[in-house]
Amino acid sequence: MEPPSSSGSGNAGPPRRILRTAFRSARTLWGVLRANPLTLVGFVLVVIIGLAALTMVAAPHLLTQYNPRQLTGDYSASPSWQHPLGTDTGGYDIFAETLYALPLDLAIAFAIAGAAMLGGGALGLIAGYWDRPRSVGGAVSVVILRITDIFLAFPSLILALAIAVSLGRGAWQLIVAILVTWWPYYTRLVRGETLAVKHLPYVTAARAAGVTEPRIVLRHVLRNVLEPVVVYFTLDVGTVLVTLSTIGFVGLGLNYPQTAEWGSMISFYQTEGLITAYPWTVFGPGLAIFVTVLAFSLLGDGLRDVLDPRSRRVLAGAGVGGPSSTSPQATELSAEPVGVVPVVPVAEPAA
Amino acid sequence: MTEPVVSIEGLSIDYVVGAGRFRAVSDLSLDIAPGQVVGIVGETGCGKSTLAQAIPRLLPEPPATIGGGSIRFQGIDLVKVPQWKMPAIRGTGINMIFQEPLNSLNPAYRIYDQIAEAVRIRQAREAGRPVVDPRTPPPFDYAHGPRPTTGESMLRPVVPVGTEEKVRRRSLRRHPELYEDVLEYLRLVRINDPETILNLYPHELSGGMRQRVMIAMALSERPALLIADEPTSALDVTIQAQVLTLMKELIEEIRTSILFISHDLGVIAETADVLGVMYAGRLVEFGPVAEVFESPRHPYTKALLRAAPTRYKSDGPLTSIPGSVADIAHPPPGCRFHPRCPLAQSVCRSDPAPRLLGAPDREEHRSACHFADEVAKIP
Amino acid sequence: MTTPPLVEAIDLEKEFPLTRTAGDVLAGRPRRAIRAVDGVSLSILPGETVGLIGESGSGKTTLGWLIARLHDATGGALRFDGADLLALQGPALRRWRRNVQVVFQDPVGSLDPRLRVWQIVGEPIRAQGEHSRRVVRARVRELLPTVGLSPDCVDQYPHEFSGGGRQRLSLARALSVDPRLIVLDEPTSSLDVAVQAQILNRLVELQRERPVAYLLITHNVAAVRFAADRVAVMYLGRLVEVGAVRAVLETPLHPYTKALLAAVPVADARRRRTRFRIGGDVPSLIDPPPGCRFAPRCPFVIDQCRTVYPMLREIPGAPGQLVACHRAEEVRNVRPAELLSTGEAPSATPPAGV
Repeated sequence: MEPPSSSGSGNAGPPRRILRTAFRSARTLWGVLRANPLTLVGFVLVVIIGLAALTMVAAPHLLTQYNPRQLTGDYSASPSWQHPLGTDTGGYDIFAETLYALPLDLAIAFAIAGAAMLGGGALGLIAGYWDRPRSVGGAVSVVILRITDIFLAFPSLILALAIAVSLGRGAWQLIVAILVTWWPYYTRLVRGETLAVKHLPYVTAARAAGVTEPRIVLRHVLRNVLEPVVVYFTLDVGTVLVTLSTIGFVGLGLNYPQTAEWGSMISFYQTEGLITAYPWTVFGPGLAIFVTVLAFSLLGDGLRDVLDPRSRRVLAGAGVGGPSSTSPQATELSAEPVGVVPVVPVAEPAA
Repeated sequence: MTEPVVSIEGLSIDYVVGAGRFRAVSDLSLDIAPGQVVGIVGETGCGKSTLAQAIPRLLPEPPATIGGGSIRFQGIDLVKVPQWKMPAIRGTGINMIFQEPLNSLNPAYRIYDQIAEAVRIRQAREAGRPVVDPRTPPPFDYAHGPRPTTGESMLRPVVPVGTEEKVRRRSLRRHPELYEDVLEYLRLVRINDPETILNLYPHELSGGMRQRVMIAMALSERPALLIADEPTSALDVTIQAQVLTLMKELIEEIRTSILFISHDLGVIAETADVLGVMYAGRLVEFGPVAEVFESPRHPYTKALLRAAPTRYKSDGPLTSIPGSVADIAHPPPGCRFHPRCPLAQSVCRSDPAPRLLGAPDREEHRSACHFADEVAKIP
Repeated sequence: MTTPPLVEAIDLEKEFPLTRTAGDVLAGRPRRAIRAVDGVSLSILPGETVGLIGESGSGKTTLGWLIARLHDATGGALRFDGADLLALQGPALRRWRRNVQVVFQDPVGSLDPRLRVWQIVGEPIRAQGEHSRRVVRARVRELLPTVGLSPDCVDQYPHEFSGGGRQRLSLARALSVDPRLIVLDEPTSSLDVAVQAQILNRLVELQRERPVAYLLITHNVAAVRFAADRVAVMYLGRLVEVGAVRAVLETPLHPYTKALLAAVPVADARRRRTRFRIGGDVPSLIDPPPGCRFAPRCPFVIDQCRTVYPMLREIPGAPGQLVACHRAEEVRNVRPAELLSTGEAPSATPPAGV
């Protein structure tokens, strides 16, 4: 989506401009969604999940009648109208438990992916933009890159598990454990994109115009780097979620039933050893993970189209190649001088 | 009148994009005689590259479709040939060289391997089922023997700095029997000391050398028709002149037919026998190159010839063509050039578009303009 | 009375060092460098157009960037309006930048695809201190018609324009701060002939309306013929010929200039029988040979050419034209057309029995 600084006619104040930009982005978004049904599904799902998370935090009883870890009196009941996903041996309603875990899982996933994007991304920007031969920036880049390589050499899940073990259980410990292994991917991504953009003529043109370096970085480099990063981030939320659920599943991370979290819920039900008898118990958290990851993946793919102004043209239905037919060809003034034809014979250059 | 090598009748090529379908080439007809060099000239977006790639059916068929017409090559209508049979016709029947050889030479293989592959395919094909009628004489004429090089500065060998140390014989273990043939083809394109480049990768050669290698590969298959799509546009001026010189000499020796696509009128003037001018997907003029240049019969051709800057600042501004190139997705009705044409009248704005017709006394010089005879009067 | 030059380059040099591999360090090989610009002296007068012709590898783009202070010179002197340009740094350099702007070669890459026209064209104005959005937009609206675009396209994106349109946008951006010199790097190379003509006409007209000089860097000889007042020919990092455009293009003195002019394809069907007789590729800029750089390919080469470098000098009978050739007087009457032969050319033996 366009940041507010690039809006339309100059006389409106900032608030109106933001509104106008938002309106325009919304219209483009709607165009993308209409064109690509899968993206629409992803977007709708993400919106539903987001709203559900907010509801569960603010007014949980809109979605479920039960409190967290409420004894319902039905033990190990199979799915029914009253208990859409059944109950477990402890009497908790699985549907309610799954919903209570939603905001936490989502928040942790966003926190990890967000911190990795900001931290890893910043490192990547430094390593990319100031990497010049025989300079301080170059030396710093080398250091950053080698550290990144070291971290990337470890299988991320194993390393996260090892750190989680040493840190113990808990939400913050979980975040730190995964974050430590997650940031290098963003560093690599941002560095690659920065390197690609840094040499483009429009960056040099900005320098030639006298734009200061920090402004070049912000205005030209970051804005063009942002698009693939945001796409990656959206897809990454799903991956992080799977990772943190896996950590919960093997018995680290958060502890169910003290804290509701999907991975640890599955682990808890599984250790009960009663899955064969009561298989519906794991459906709740499992399905929740699946749907959430799917939603973010679909949305991430669609975002790629929205953010790139060039592909907006394709959505506008223009023909192949050349400027969009919706933009008037009359942008080029037709009053070009056709010129007077000389009567003088033209000089042959080589003869 | 000998049978033309390729005879295109009413060819139309469409692109299907999303919901829309637009016509990149409309109702194009032309013949290429044996041994003839046909030049096609036009600006960006006129459809000349589409045409070039459509003849050997190299266009990706899902977005592109043949919307009508026929391409007759040695008795077969190529439009009706299914894609899986086309490889038999390409190579020895119709071959192609492109603008940027870095894209058409495989960067992972050395030069020797690439040319050897081409030679090997042709030999296999000639031993197997020949598509070319075996009774037709081969396109090469080996009647004259070797001639000594005149002048020391003619076409010196060009080898990138430092490669002598790198020559290794490893890759020649594949297909050693083709070694002599590969060397001969490289000498044919005037690369002296071809042994030095055999072991190099395409990116280690200069642009001019790569283009010569491409020409060597294309000719080693002895095609009946060679399509050259802007082969010199990516080269420096002096290198372009060398490669054009080479092509002109090869044209004389080898007598394969060539369809030469370019946006540069000068290049076409140097190499082509007959010239076709394309605008917005249509052929608007076609005829012997000298005639088309000296007395064009279509306003667009005339405008193109005049727009090439050949004067000094003090002689006044350059003549240009008012407006901009017709949008091929939404072409103007009738004659597509009429919005920019000094001779346009109401008949030009209405369908059908003018047909390509010859002059009463010069049937070979054809023009698609209602007022072809008045073009000479445009200043 | 001579006008003082706007830009004066004196023995300007730019070297790009090659990174040494570990093998090079161990073997003790000396540090090598690409000498892209190797001692060029050139001046540009206010309001004139200097064409800089050369092929790839000649260093012409690097020279243009040096003059625009987009590269730092590794040798020589550069003056702008008499003042030393190489000494400028930091904020002073940024303020100076309004005097020299650049139009780049790639019309697609030189415009940020995420910004709108008014932001792109107005960027130099903002960089030079004007922060009011309204003022910038207004100035851009005024500027667009001067390059042949409608003022209503201020809010469009670059991808909505054709190649010619984008070049006009680049030109508008360059003009936005009223520079005294615009360096145009291959402004016509990706354009069709008709659009080239429009752009060149526009450039010439603009020069009549305002006091701006152009450094037109291109390999397109016809563009230089039309737009330039003086022309300089570069080969492998050095100037080989400089002079008034009519003089150089009609009576070239240097063999390379003659070769270049002979090589340009002309839309004349009588050229079908011609053969270009200059062979060889452009050698690399690393470790250039002593002596004249064109010696390996020159049809008039003598021993002296290979060992002693010819300096740029005037020869009698061609005032105002500088040429760097030992044999300039002897070969001056060789016309470019004589470097094309219409005789029969040699052919190699085609493969026998294959």
